[in-house]
Amino acid sequence: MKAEGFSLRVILLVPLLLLTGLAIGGAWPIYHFGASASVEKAAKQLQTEVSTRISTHLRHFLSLPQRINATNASLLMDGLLPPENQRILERHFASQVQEFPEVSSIYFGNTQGGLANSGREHEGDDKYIIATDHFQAGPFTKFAMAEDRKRGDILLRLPGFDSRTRPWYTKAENTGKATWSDIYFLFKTELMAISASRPVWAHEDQFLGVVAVDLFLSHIQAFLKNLHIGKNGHAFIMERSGRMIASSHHEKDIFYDENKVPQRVTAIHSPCPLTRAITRFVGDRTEGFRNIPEKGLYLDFTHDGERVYLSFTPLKDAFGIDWLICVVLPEKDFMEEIEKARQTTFFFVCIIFFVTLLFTLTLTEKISRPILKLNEAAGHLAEGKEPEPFSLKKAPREIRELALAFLHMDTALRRNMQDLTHEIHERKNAEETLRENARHTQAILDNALDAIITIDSFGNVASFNKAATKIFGYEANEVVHHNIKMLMPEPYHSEHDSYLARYRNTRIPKVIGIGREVSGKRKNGEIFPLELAVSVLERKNALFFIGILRDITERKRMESMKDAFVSTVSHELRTPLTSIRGALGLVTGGALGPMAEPVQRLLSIALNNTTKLTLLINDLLDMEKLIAGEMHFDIQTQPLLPLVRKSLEDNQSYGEKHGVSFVLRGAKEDIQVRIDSLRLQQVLANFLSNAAKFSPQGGKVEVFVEIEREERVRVSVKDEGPGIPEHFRSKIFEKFSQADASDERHKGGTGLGLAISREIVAHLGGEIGFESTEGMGATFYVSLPLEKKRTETPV
Amino acid sequence: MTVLQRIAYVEDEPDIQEVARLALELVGGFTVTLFSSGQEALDGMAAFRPQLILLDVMMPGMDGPSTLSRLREQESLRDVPAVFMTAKVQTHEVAHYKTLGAMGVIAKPFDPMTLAQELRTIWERCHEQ
Repeated sequence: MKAEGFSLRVILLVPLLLLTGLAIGGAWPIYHFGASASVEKAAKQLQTEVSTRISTHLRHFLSLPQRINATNASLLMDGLLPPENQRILERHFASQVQEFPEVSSIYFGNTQGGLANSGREHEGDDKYIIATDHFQAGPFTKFAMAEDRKRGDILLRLPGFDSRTRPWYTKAENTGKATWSDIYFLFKTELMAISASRPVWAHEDQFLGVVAVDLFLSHIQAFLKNLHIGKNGHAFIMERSGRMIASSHHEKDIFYDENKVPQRVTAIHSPCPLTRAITRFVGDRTEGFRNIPEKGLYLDFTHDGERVYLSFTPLKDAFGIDWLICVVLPEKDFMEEIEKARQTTFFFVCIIFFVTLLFTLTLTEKISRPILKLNEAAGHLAEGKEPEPFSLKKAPREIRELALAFLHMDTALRRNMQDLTHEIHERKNAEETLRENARHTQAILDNALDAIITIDSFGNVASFNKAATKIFGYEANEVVHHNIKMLMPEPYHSEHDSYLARYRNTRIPKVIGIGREVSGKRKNGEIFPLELAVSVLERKNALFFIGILRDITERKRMESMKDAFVSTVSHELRTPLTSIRGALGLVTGGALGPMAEPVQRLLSIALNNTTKLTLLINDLLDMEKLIAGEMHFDIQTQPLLPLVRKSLEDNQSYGEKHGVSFVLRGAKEDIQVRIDSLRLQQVLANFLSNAAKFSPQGGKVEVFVEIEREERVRVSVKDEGPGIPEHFRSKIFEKFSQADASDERHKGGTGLGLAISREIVAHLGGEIGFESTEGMGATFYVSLPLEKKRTETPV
Repeated sequence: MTVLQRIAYVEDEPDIQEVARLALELVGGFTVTLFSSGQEALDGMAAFRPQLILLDVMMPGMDGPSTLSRLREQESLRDVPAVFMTAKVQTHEVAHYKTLGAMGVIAKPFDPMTLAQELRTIWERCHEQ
């Protein structure tokens, strides 16, 4: 059973992992870029700091010679230093040199081209004094400085010096103010130096000369080298022109010209590749260092695959210094920590990720496994197979509950399935039985000799069996859904609808429950007699009528044949009987004169039996008429008692013949009944003759006329005979019934009397019956409805 | 009141003819003329001038009631009382015969010893009216 969609594992795993990934992946760039920004900021801060330090140092460093010059100039001007005294000046300068180690030499050139100079060797701490002879232009001598700052040994003596031609002198003289010289190399060294010079006036118009201080720029180099700039950071200083002054990371930026004279290099020609790269980069960006703004410039660029932060800070003073301090910071100095942190973070992120993955997998497995097991089990169940057992011990509580619920459901389902199967089986059986019953019923319907037709309450035919087809000549499909009227001749045809309507409204039946004879109409138009019995069936609130019809054409024909036969026989029998009885009557009546005794007796026997035969035939014919409904009843309201009396009188002779007397009891004169007097007398005659026959000689037969409750009158005839035997009681009113055949012959009678009586009484609307105790006589009675007296019923 | 003497009897059955004739002549002392069918009666009864006509109901050809109505067409027989003899003596049947003009009905089989007296009673009742 495969359905569309993702598996549970995927649904659980993918979003969880995605979320984790998103959290980590989202955090990483934030962390990364945040770190980069921090690095940049830190770098800039460090650069500013370093630049400021360098700048402060350089300002201080560069202000020193200017301050010395200023001091010396004011001393000279004020006359505190004698401008003409070469020796005093030397000593003064010497003490200053001793004080300031950065200073190479301090000196004064006067207007005669003379020089007084105290200085320090660039290697070691030896001091010297250089002085022109006579403090004027001409030869000069370099002396080693003695302990007392006086001239010591002559180190060197050279001719032709004129301070007035030196650049430091001319520049100060020409500008008329303190100034810097260009940077130059110390004599026969690779050491750079710069000179600060200042014109000296005694008065506004008396020019005394120029004081100057030479400064070792190698101190800058030393300072830079000692400066701690991050881990791998460095700094260099250059002039705006691009010529290098000092660098923290490489020794020198010089080259030698063809005369083996060292020359300063511009940054673009620096032996340091980084410096060159920086120069190129900045040159490309700013078209030279001249455009670097006063507030400085911060840049970053990539060199040899590594990011490098750059800062340029201009350094200017009032005397013409215009330098640039460049601080270079490789990003990796900062990144190392960050990288470390990153690595640590990444490591932890990875651990978190894998832990999450592991956790997610475990969780997914823990959740999905039992569900999948359940799913599998459900699948097995769905296929109708027994699911494999599985443990849910470690499953979450809800899933265990689910599994339990599932198991309960499964159990319930199985039970229901069993029940259902059982029920289906039973239903199948029931259906089979039902079908069989239906077939059985259909077979019965098909094979029934009687037509069976069902109709609804509006007369539409619902079913029409084979016998109906045979009788009416219509096929079932010609009749079903048509109105039953089509099978009826007039007047039934017209009346049927109103009859059904009346029944629907009032439920008063006309033919339901009783059989009756009506007429039907065949397909060929022939009208025929049929016997109809209708029963009503209420099914699903709808009324159905079941009509069972029998074609009685044949029976009617047979009946009329029988009638004709009986009529014929009776006639044919009566005629000879009339002759015989007449002849015997005449003879035994003595019409032909007396006869011999034996002849007379035999003729009497013949006459008696002829009479009996006549009675028998009369009874037979009566019975036949009663059953066929041909017996005519002349019913009239009349007093009962005279009829009873007449019966007694009529049968008196018969009673006397048996030695029995009839006694009437409880007579009430005013009892009225609606009856046929002759027929009632026929019944009473039967009772009386029977009573007489079965009474003992000299017995008494009592006749009672009594009012019963429910407005009925009972006429009963009580004898003193042997009573009715128990076994005979149920058959006493049947035709030709005799308690004892031999006894009956003895007593005589046709055996039809009581049967005829019962039929007659039924036609008169009365009841017939008897009460008897064997050996204690019998009482036969007829019970008739009382007719109210004419006086009580106003006409 | 004239005494009943001449009776015309229409009956197809010879044996019954004989028994009835004997009963009427021997027991009753009447003069009886027999007719064996309705047609015979129509042809010859008027000449006999009967005082009472006795008719069997069931006869081949023309039955009793038909014969009587035809006899009534003859002037001399129009008012002669008629009596039917029949086995069909239910009340309504008797009533029916009487509407056809019968004065009485004798049930078959009849008692030959009382037949003459029965006819005489009917005849007397008829003349009393």
